[in-house]
Amino acid sequence: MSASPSETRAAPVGARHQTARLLLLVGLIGLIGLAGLTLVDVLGRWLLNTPLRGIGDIAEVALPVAIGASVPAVIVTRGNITIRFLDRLLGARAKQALDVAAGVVVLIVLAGLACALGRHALALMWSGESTWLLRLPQWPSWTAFAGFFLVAALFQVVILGDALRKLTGRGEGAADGA
Amino acid sequence: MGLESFAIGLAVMFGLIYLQIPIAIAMLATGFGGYALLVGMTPAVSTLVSAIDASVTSQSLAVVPLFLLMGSFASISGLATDLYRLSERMIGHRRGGLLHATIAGCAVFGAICGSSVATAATFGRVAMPEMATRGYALSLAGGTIAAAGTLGALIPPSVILVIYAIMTESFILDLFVAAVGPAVLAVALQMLTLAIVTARHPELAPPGDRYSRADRLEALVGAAPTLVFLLVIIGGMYGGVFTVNEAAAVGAILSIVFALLRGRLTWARFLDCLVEAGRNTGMIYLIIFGAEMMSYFVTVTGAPQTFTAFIEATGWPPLMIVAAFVLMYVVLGSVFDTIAAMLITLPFVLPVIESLGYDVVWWGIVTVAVVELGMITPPIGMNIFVLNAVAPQAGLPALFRGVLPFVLSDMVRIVLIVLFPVISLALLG
Amino acid sequence: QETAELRFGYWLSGKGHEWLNVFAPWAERVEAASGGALKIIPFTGGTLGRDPAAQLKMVEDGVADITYPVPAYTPDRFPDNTVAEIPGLYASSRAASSTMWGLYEAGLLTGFDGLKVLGLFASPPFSISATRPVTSLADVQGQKLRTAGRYGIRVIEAMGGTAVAMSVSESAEALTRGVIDGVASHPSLDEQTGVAEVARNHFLARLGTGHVMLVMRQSVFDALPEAAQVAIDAESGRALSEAWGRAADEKAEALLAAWSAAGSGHVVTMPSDKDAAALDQIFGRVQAEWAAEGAGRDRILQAVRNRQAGRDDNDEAGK
Ligand code: NA
Ligand code: NA
Repeated sequence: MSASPSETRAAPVGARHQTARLLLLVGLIGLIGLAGLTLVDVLGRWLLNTPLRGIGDIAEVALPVAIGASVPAVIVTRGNITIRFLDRLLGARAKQALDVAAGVVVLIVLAGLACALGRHALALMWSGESTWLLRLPQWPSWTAFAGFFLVAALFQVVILGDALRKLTGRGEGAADGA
Repeated sequence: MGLESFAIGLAVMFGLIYLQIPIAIAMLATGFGGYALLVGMTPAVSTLVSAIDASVTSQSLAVVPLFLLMGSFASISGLATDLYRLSERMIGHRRGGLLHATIAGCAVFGAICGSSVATAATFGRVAMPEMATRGYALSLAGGTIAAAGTLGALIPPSVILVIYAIMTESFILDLFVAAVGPAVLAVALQMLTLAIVTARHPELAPPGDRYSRADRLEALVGAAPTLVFLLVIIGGMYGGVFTVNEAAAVGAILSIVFALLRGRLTWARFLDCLVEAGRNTGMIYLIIFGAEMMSYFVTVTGAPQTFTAFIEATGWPPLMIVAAFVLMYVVLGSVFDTIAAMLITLPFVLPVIESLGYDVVWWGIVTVAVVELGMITPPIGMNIFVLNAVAPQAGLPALFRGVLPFVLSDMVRIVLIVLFPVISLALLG
Repeated sequence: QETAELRFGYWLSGKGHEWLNVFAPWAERVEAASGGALKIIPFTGGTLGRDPAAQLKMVEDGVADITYPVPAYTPDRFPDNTVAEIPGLYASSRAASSTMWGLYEAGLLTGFDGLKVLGLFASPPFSISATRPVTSLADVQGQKLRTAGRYGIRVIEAMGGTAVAMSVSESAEALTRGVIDGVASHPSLDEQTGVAEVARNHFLARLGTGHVMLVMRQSVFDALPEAAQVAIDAESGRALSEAWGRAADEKAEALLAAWSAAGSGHVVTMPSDKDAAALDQIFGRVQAEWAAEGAGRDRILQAVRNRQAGRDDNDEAGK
């Protein structure tokens, strides 16, 4: 990612990355915590014949948070695998139009996912579904999971905004045709 | 009628992908849309949510981020440098010695790191500068690292093998065990290829220094912690202390502790590792969501049954059908993402492979070998791109030229493991 | 005449014995009885959804018309169906399945609103299969045994074992690696999962059963042509439940007979009289705990005992 030429535009991009990073850290530190518990379980079972109880239940509620947290970072850093095939064939202007169109599709999919997953979280809350052994409620982690997609969708709105500005020639983006 | 929907769906998906929509999003949109049109909106939402739920809460799949974490922390903790130094001192004085050392280093590193790109990137940083200063041809050096990087996925643990195991409901450990023979073959063939290339063009890879026994011992002592770390993970996993799931968790924790003990873990590096592992995690899960939705859509079109029946009706000998699939993967692998290519085709290919009486585990090994070949072939070869980012002075065309001998030797290996399933299955008993 | 189509989503393999011996013939019989009014399209191997925990939701959301849910995954929805998991109650799969259907018919089970229940199934009673010798209750002491469910764990612990919760698919691998010593399971499941290749010591302790059901949505059923409804009703319910149980028993008996034969490499042990008495004590405690955890469970437990003792069902059925 090249640095943006304008100070005013650098700030929000930085903020976006910082937020995504922060979320990602929360999720992965949770995952490392889960790995730590697994280590304790392995040692306990191996050395003392007393496995930890309910580690699967903890994983079931922790994993959605750990994995969901990585989604906004994928969107912000454009980490998704994209085949840039037409780039070589198209002019700058057509490329920008394509970016806008692709951005709209991505936004629709992310928003749709946030919506469907949010409804799923609500349904889990009403039904009070819980894990097998420890009876941990499932709705909080799925609310978080849906929330991560919502954040990703919001980031995508900003990214799409940038693409639109480039296309309409407003903003400095139009200049960086390298 | 089903077939028409399938054909339209496939066309829409490829259309979206070539309109530069990320592969995962294109599969999600097409799979969901097609399913909703064929079955209805409520079932489509329900299938989408349960497919995501099942993937996210799968503890088997959770080994993927854990293996990614382990690989990230292993690469900053100087582990690769240790391994490279050790193998350089042992075999570096021969013709093309640093290249042989790179292959050996990648092979051992591959036993900790589950991904081909990460292995290529790590050794690109470790080995490329040294080879450049010793006057090695950058094209061959970069090509060797890109090819040896695929050992990261061919040698267990392997993220792709984990995903294949989960999608086909086979045992992860079976695939890991079956991968050992072909992995040994891969290392042997790569080294043989290198020997042939450097024999014909010695100027591409001048021999390095010969080291004294004391120097070698020093490198061995220096690499000892790394080797112990390796032994704990591999011994624990194959020796019955823990399952693959647990090995991934233990490995992730140990690699962090390891980096910490060696003084390599600054706060900034810790964050970088997490970001790298996290991004790849998010990317892989999004692709899995997309591929799951796509495969449910494909299933309701009824195309897989039609396809299986069609294949059976051709009356082709099984080996020819297998060869056709391999060819299809080579083509797909060069224009498509590795994991996505495998996932999108499994609903079709697996029923045929099973109906032909082939072993699902063996087919996993073949699939991974073929899609990894795609990582080093043009136009889209992820490992080559990675090397190009590490050492841009060589240039993409030169790198693709440098990797060409390995592409050929990989093809030979694929033919061998297809013709002789025993290479994969012998250790399984 | 118009043919109604039903999508049968089956999350297990279409090559498994339950599909080949029970459900495929059932679907054929129903189609034949409907006289062309009904066609059942199988989607085996989880091609409509492979998550066993999602099967109920799949049928309710219309992803499939018929599914094969495991009630233990939604314990809050079917709280009293956990009676199938209680040890010491069931002698065979047929008896247990027939009993579960009887409880349902008598209105003693809850959670079935909006569902058309086609069959209720309970596996042969679980025994302990281990890699180490288990010929007595004392041998269970200290063994790490894979089990599932709240009551499954309680009974293993009450027997002196260490209960390890992991998925069925992981257990064979965990056994070969020595991560666990054995499983609480039944013979056909052991064979399917590969557990039987390593865990060759079988202690027939008569634990609880594994409970599954076959359901469709009531509204989908109501919308079917009458000929289809009649055909389904004729072939389902108690008849299907018992057919499933009979097939499961036959399979289990065949496996146990093979394992009991000399030179099979397996050791099959019936608990001694002394162990049987001790087990009855332990099972009694778990039964009492289960009954204490919900209103009306005393009645269910009594009904189960009556049925298993061979006294007839119709007394409660009439209420
Ligand atoms: Na590896
Ligand atoms: Na390629």
